[in-house]
Amino acid sequence: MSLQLTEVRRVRRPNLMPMIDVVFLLLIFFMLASSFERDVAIQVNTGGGNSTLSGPPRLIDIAPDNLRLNGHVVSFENMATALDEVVSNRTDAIVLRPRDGADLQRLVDVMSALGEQGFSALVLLE
Amino acid sequence: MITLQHRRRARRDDIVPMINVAFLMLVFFLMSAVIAPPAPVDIAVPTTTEASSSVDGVTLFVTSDGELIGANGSVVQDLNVFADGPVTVSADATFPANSFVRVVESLRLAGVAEIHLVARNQLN
Repeated sequence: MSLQLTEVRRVRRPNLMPMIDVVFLLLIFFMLASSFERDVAIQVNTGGGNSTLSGPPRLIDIAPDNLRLNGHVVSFENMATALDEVVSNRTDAIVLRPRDGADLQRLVDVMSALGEQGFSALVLLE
Repeated sequence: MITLQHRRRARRDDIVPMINVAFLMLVFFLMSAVIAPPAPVDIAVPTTTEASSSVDGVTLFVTSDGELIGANGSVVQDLNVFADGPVTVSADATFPANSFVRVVESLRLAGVAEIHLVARNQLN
């Protein structure tokens, strides 16, 4: 008696295999289609605005293999300390002039290094 | 014997409502998601370790010839139409830096007040 009762009451359970197939297919699709690399925006300023440059000149020439602060070669590591001698504080404008042969990655490297040191007003000059 | 079978059946919850809800959420997110359009030109943007703001506004792409291309793939003729809002410039890492400055300056002369450069954040 009890055996027959369980036979009748057996709930029809859906077959989960096709659904799991579909879900994994979607998972793989979105894993391949998505990009986890984060793009960021770096503010770039050029001259020609109404702002005026005051104080001693602060011009960094960016060559592919060296940096020149006001014409004197400085190393990438000593750039911040050399700049501190010509700025009154680190929010003063600093002019960056890329030379022939320097690519955009080089410019971004210098801008990032200066930005991390707190030099926030970087002006690009051709 | 009977009580044992009864208990085992009661433990097995009905999972169909959960599947329904999960698929409803899946369909909702599928429909509300915006798939990012691919860049019209092949660009490997420079990398940076600096944490900066996220990309916003109109994005223009710089070709290796120094031409500005819109998101639709056509060359931008008149820069003045972008004077209202911020403009984000995407250029290849190997693009000459002084040519890039020239491109930024042309945007500035067209009246664009806020110009950004796209870079890829490298976690350090």
